[in-house]
Amino acid sequence: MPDLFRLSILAADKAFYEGECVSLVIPTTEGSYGVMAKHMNMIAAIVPGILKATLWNGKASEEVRLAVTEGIIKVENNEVLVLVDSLERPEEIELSRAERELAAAKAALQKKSSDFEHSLAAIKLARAMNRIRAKEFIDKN
Amino acid sequence: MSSAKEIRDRINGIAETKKITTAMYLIASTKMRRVRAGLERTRPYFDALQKEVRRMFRAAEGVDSRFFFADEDVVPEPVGAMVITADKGLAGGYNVNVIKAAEKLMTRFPAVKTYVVGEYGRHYFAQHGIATESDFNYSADDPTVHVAREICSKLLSDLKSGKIMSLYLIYTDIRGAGETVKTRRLVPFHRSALKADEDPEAPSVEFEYMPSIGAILENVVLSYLTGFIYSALVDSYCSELTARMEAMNAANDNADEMLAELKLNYQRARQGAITSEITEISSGAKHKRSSK
Repeated sequence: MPDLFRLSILAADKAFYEGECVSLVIPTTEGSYGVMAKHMNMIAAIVPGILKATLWNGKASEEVRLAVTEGIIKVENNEVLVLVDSLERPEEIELSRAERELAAAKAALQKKSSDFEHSLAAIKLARAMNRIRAKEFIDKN
Repeated sequence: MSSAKEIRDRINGIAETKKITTAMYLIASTKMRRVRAGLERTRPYFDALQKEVRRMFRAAEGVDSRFFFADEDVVPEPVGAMVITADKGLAGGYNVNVIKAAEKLMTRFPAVKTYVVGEYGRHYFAQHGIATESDFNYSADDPTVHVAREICSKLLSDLKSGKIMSLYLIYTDIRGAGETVKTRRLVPFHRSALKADEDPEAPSVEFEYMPSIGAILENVVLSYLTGFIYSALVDSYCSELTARMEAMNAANDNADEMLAELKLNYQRARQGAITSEITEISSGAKHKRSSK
């Protein structure tokens, strides 16, 4: 049995996972960051990207990939807490819809608009690109 | 006394109105259940996030950020206030109470910029010639996390650009005994409030922060505030629905009372009409008999 740690993944609208985990790779402001059992205590900022986790269901490990948005990760005494605004399994992502959203966000960015609208469009753009990347990544493997 | 027909019409009218108030009562209770369920679903996330953010505040005594630390008693101006009212009336004193609290804040900070949620509040302020932020147009109905986040990023962009320096939230809290209007300062955060719930038993663990506490806080401030705004929206909406249910309940009771009285009057009027008719017939018959 591999070294394990407890992992909870919470999104704003659902609790995604609560259980054992072998390894975790999260997108942070400093780039991809890996966490395994007995990692030192830390808190980091999560940016939109792909989260990879090898979950342990008691007998075998299972790898999952999720498209996540902003949040934080906390490692405390071998317990890991991942809090993100939203997360999606690649199966749930519709490529055509994500591409439409990407185009819409790009168009909104082009327009001269207020700071507020600009930042909203930028967030939408990041989200759409992230979705597409997550989807393509999974389809390749 | 009015005629039996008039009373009959009145009874029918009141019965129709009662149907409407009963329906509004039922609609309010169903909506409330749905919104409550939505809040329950998001609670674990926001609770966990708030706990972590509070912990970071405590760890970050020295970190300076315009959102987080301010002199306790000095409120930097200009002040912004987000006021949550209902979209509709017919909810007892719900809207009036919120607006009273808003006006109290306005006397304290005459230059306050008001962000109004809900059609009722917007109408009220427009009618009384009080300026509100015109491009802030959100409905109080059916609050979702999505709407809360949009509201929050709008407010944050005004905070960042310096249009407002601090932010108050006026909403109706449903927890505890009945609905109470609360005025709460969101930004800058209270250092003492954050410390108040510090658990002395909690072991002080050293964390490594990547890249830094300030940057992490900056990254989650939107979600953190969204949590507050969302739960305030849901609490207000539930209060509105409760107030409406109470108002509709009272309306139903009044309608029952009126119906009972009107029915009695109707019977009396009908009885009176019959009695006078009998008297007329019998006296007519008597007259005919005597004139023969």
